[in-house]
Amino acid sequence: MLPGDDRSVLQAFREGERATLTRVYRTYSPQVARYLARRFSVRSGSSVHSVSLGALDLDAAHQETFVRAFRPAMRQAYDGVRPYLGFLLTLARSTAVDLLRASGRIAREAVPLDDAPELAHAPTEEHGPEEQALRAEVRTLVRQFLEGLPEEARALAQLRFMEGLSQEAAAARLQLTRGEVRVRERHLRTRFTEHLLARGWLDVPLGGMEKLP
Amino acid sequence: MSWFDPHVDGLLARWAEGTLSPRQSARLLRHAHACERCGASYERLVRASRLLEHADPHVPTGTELAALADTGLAAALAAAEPEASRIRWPSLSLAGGMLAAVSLAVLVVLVQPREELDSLQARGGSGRPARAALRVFCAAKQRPLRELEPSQACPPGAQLAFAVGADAPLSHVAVGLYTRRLQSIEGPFSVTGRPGAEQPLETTLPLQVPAGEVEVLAAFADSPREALAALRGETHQGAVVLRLPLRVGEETP
Repeated sequence: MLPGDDRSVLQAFREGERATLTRVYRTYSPQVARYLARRFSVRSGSSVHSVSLGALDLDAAHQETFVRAFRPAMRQAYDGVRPYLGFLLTLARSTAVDLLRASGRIAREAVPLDDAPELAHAPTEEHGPEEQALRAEVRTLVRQFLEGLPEEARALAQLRFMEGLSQEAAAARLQLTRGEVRVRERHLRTRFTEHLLARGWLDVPLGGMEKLP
Repeated sequence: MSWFDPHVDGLLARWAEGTLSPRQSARLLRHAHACERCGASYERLVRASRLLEHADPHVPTGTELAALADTGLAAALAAAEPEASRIRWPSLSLAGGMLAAVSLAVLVVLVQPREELDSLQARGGSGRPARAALRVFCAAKQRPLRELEPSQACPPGAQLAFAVGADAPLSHVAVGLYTRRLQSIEGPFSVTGRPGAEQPLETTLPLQVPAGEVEVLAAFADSPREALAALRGETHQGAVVLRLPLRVGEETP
C-alpha cells in the first residue's frame, strides 16, 4: 500500500518527489473525504455530542489534512510499516476537531471519543431539534422530487443513486448507451436543482435558472 | 464588462449538473469560502444532493469527491517543499527601492537571465512590444468594475479580477496577492490573450485584508509548473514576473 509498499516509493515520498506525492494524494483523497464527512463524537463535560463538518469545512479540513501530512517533518515521521491510511485518518480527525473547536461548534476542552475509547459507550445526544427538522425537510424534498419524476427518469435515479451503479452498468440495465445515460443524468440533476429552487430550499436562482413563483 | 460576475451562481448550477472542471471546482470552493451568500447556497445544495444520491447527509457525493481530489493538491504540494524554498515577502525597503528606481506603470522584473532585462517593457511602455501584460480590476459592491493603475485603491472586501496576455513561449501564468503577513496564490492558468488583446482569467482574489499596501504579482512562464515556481521566487530561464503595487482602502477623489 502506498507509500510504504516499495522502498523506492517510500524514499521518493520522504524526499517530497511531486509525482509520488500526487499519487498518494489522489489515492487517499476520497477515503479522507468520506472519513471527514462522517459524524464525530466528542465529550464535553458530562455530555457526549455528535457533530459533523459542513460541506465547506469538509473542503478546508481535507486540504489541511494533506498539507499537514505532506510537510517534510510529517513525511519523515511515517515509518513505512503501518498502513498509511491509518496515519492519514488520525491526522484528519485531529484536523476536524481543531476546525470544530476553532469555529466554536465544540468546546476547547472537548475530547474526541476516538481518543478516549472508554467513553465510546457513553450515551450520545443525537441530532438536536433544529438538525432533525432540517433533515426531515430535505428528505421530504427528495421524496417529492423522486415521486414527481416520469418512470424512465425515476428508474435512472434508482439505478445510479439508490443502487449506486456506474453509468455503464445503468446504461446496460436500461438498454441505453452510456452517452444517453450521461445526458439524461445531467437533465435529472438540473431538474433536481430546479425543484430545490421552486420549493424554496435554494433562495438564489443559479446561473440561468429562474425561481418559480 | 460582462465577463465578470461577482458571485458563482453559474458555477453552482454546473456543480449541480456534475459538469465542473477541476479548475472551476476550485474557483467555486474558493469563492464559497469567502462569500456568505454563495457559501450558504453551496452548503444547502450539497446537503440536498447527498440525500438524493446516498440517502445520507454524511456521505459525500461523487461530485464533491471529484472536486476534492483536485482542489487541495496544489496546497499540499506547496507544503511539501522545504521551508527555505517557500516564497518570502520581499522587504518593504527592497520593494520601495525597486519602485523608486523604475517609474513604469507596471514594474517588470525578469527572473532570469538578467541580460534580457532590456527586452521587457511594461504595457504602454517605450514602443517595443511587451512580452507579457497584466491588467487588474477592482470589483466592489454597488460600483462599476474599474481598472487599477499602480498604487490606486480598492476597498476591503472587494474582489480583484485580472486580464492577461503574453507572447510565445510564455504560455501560463500564476497570480498572487501579497501583504506583509499573507500570500494568496491562484493558478497556474493557460494564457489565451496577447499583449494588447488581454483575456480575462477565470479567477478572482478577494481583498480580505486590512487597509494598507498590497502587491499583485503575475508570473508568466512556458509551463504551469514554472509559472508557479517563478511566482514563488524560484529562478527560471525566461520567466517574467509583473508586479503591481496597490492600496487596500477607499479611493480618494
